[in-house]
Amino acid sequence: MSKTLYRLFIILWLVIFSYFEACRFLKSIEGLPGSGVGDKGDATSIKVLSENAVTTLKKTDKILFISDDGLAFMYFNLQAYPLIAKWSKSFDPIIYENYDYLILYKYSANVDLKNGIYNTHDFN
Amino acid sequence: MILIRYIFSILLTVYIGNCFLKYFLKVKKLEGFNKIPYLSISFFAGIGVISSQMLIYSLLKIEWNLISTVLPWLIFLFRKTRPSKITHQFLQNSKPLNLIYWVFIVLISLQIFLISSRIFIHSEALGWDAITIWYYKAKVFFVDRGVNMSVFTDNRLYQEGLSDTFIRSSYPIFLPLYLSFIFISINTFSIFYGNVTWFLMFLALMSVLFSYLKAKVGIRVSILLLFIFVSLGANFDHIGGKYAGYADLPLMCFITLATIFF
Repeated sequence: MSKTLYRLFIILWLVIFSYFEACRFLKSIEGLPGSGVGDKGDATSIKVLSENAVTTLKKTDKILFISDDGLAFMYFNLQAYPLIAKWSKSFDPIIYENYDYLILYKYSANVDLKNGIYNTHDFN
Repeated sequence: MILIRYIFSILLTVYIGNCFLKYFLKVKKLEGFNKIPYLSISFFAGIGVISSQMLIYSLLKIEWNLISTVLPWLIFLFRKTRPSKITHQFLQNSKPLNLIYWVFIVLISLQIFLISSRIFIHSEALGWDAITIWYYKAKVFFVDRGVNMSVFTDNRLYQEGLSDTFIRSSYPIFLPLYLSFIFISINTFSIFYGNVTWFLMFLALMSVLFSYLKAKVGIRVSILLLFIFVSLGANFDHIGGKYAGYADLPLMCFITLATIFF
């Protein structure tokens, strides 16, 4: 009796394992945070944006990261350290006037700007 | 070149762990484990020793680099030891494996292959904890060459609705410290090599688990139990899936080892 139960348990486990294994391979593989083509029609990835920031910005620069995607913000911070940005979901002059640079990434509000690094003086 | 440096850093970890087990702990329960499980245990011990060593260096303002980390352990290279008498307390299971068990061995190998292939497909961290906590801390330690806690409480990184930052200042730092050792060794920050390190821990745990189970319940049941362990979906997701880089898997490895030995 116990041997039969034991075998049944193993068979049941194999069935469940096969089902989940199949599901795992049938679903698509996830990409980087906020990856893919941006909302404004440009394909600047968060990785490229981080690399550009590291080469163009200084540690002392005040940076505001404007995006709907919080994970992309932290991914930027991870790749661009020692640069540290502050996250905002709002493209508002009252907020950004205290910063040297703005980084826009996957921002869906009504702003006609592509993903990229912008100097705040350019908006004045 | 990075791959060679990475392999070298893993070998150093095993060597340091081995020195620690041999000269400081002298754990009797390890006697009887043959080479691969013993090297696996040395690997885990090495991770703990290196992270503690780096924390002490940081507190004493000693520069972090590969040479300063390895130098204290080189004295053991010249120390002669008595060859340890290995007491085989394990069961010598003589029952031959039939076809069903070979099928399980194939399934285990297949699952390991799939997990490892997934690391190459992703080669990134995709989840919140991996990006904001574990790899972020490792990157900070790697760039600053020391434990700079002020970054963890930087007000630019405060999370809305919480009193803590995205980085979780109170979470343990021994895994990020070890990752930063790997990054110092390969001289670059690489999430891919971090994920590979987690995978190596998983393989190391499997070898220890198999040896231990073989001793307790025989080879047939140990293969079956190992299959159940490998087939858990959480392993897959935490090594090569959306939770790659989370600390759950390495912490599970340490807790399982602690359960076995202490």
